Amino acid sequence: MVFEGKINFNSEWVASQTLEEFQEHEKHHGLSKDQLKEVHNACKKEAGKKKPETK
Amino acid sequence: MSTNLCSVQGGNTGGVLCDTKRKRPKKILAGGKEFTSSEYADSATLMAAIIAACKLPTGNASKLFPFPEIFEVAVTTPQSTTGNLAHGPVRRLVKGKPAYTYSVEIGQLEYQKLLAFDGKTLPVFTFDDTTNMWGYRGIADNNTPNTNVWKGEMAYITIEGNGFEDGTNAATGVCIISISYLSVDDFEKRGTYASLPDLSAGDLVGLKDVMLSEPAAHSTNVYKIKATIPMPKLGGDLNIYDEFGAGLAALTWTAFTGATYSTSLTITSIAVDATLKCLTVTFDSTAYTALSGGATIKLVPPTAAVLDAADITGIEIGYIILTK
Repeated sequence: MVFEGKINFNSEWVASQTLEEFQEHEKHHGLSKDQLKEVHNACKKEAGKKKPETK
Repeated sequence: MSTNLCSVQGGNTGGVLCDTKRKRPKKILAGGKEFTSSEYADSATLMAAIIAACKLPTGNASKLFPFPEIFEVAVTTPQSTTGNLAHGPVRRLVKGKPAYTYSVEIGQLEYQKLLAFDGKTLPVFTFDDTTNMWGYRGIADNNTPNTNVWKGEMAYITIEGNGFEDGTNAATGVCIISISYLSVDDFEKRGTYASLPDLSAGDLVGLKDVMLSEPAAHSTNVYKIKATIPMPKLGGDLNIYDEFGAGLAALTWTAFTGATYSTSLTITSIAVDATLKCLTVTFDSTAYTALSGGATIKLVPPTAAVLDAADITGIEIGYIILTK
């Protein structure tokens, strides 16, 4: 999944991570937590996978 | 029984209207591609197959390497050697093998790339100025349509020239490509052409080599990867980021570890870095951390065919070995 034409996320891998795991792993791109959440949701939809989110 | 064998030598000599002959070469393609009868069933299919063969990865036995467009042709076929007894007829002893030199005008980079073919023997296809492509096809069995593969004609290649010009003679400073065919029999008896009226010499262009490098030290599992065309000009390497950076980031890259690079390492993201004009490649941190210190990672870019399909044309990117 390509975010704003600049970052190509591995949808399958993203969908296998919790939101928190994903946000921590990809924080170096400088995206906001909301943007990363948007990516996470889109990748889950794309990959058709769900993993419980922790608080 | 007649003892005169004159009527049983040779064969019928009739030609066919509108048949053609070898004309002036415009381009040559060197490489091992063998086109099946399905691929040469019609000119459109063959044209697509030829262009596809030019985009195969280097190292693929079926890849074709287009040479530069030819600006001057010289026939250097040695004269056949002859001899005769004092009062006897002149007899041909050895038939000269076909040989040609082609003059091309190219830059230093392209010349240095062509030198990889210097002194090599390869199959060669020749595209002439009447849009016919010449190659070799073996003879068919009796009473059977010929469906043998069509391939290049074996030739010995040398590359030289590209020195300084003398300022008065246009022939100086050019690159000279010499092609010497190994078999006059094959050249004459097995020479087979394909009519490709829609093919242009400009459709047959060699790929440029792109090198990957690390413009900055990596930070754990996050690597900076720069893609450039190395040039024989000081400070002149061409960074392809501006033209292709976003397109490259959007494609699928792969990574491998292990002694034979057979273990896949997940790439979690590839991003453009507009500051360093490179890509940011992130590996799965769990798998990355599990690697031993000093372990190597082979980062493999998309193939030339995949790049071309994404409108990133004319380049082939080599892999890079990264170190943890």
